Amino acid sequence: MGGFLANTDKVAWRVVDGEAVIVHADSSAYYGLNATGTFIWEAILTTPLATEDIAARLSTRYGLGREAVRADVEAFLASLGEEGLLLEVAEPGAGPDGAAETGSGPGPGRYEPPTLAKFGELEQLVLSGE
Amino acid sequence: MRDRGARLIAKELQLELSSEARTLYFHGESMRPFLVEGDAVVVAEVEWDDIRIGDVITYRVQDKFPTRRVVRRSKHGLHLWCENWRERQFYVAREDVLGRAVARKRGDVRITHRDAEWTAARRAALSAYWCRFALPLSVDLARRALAKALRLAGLRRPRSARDAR
Repeated sequence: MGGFLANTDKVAWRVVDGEAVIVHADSSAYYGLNATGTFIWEAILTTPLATEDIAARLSTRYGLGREAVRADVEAFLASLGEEGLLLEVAEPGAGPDGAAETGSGPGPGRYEPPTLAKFGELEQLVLSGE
Repeated sequence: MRDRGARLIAKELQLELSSEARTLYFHGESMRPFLVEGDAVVVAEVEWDDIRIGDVITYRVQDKFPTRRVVRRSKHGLHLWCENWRERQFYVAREDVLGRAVARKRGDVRITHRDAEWTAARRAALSAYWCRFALPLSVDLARRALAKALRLAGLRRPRSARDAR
């Protein structure tokens, strides 16, 4: 089974107050992730993870059953993939046993399904010389 | 996160994506002749300690990204100047510096910060700045120092021909 990796060659991102903003280099579209989405995004930045691995990390973080979050993870990964923000790789990285806690937010808080919001597209950036 | 906040962050992220393939557009006349309206510019991230006098840097002011030349460094910020806007000087705090211009494309001609044309423009701009601001300041400081030394020595400052009339 394959794994999923953030398409970091094509995007720039920044996490502010526990929520990520992502810009796609080719389309200039920009997106926002909620805290749960940001947790997943940071988990797949460097290590490809299978859906099960991500669900395991989420269930550990929020104290929920894996099956309860699996559908949310699948939907979230699908939305990332549709926007070209995700790479599918043949071999996933560390599984649930080796799963390290990731995420730059203060704490898990209450579980909310991970979401990707597309805000729009940016025009070409202008350097101001008045 | 709200769209407006995300948009501002996303615009700054566009700077990080700046590359030879994804250049940025320069608008305005203040940096002429080095940068003119429509020039394609590549801005790269830069460490604070690597910023040099004469570099052209981009920084944030609300949702705008002014791009100007560094003429002086201080502990917490940079003093900036534009070669075609000689009367004004600007200051940017360290935390608002976003990057440094490293390449420019005008028509089919591309130069980088390592090319002789870039270096010559830097030298010419700094010379102009020093003539405009630093030299008069130095002369004034020297004059004050001389006056103080004469006063301490109990001598009177020689009167100028104009004062003597």
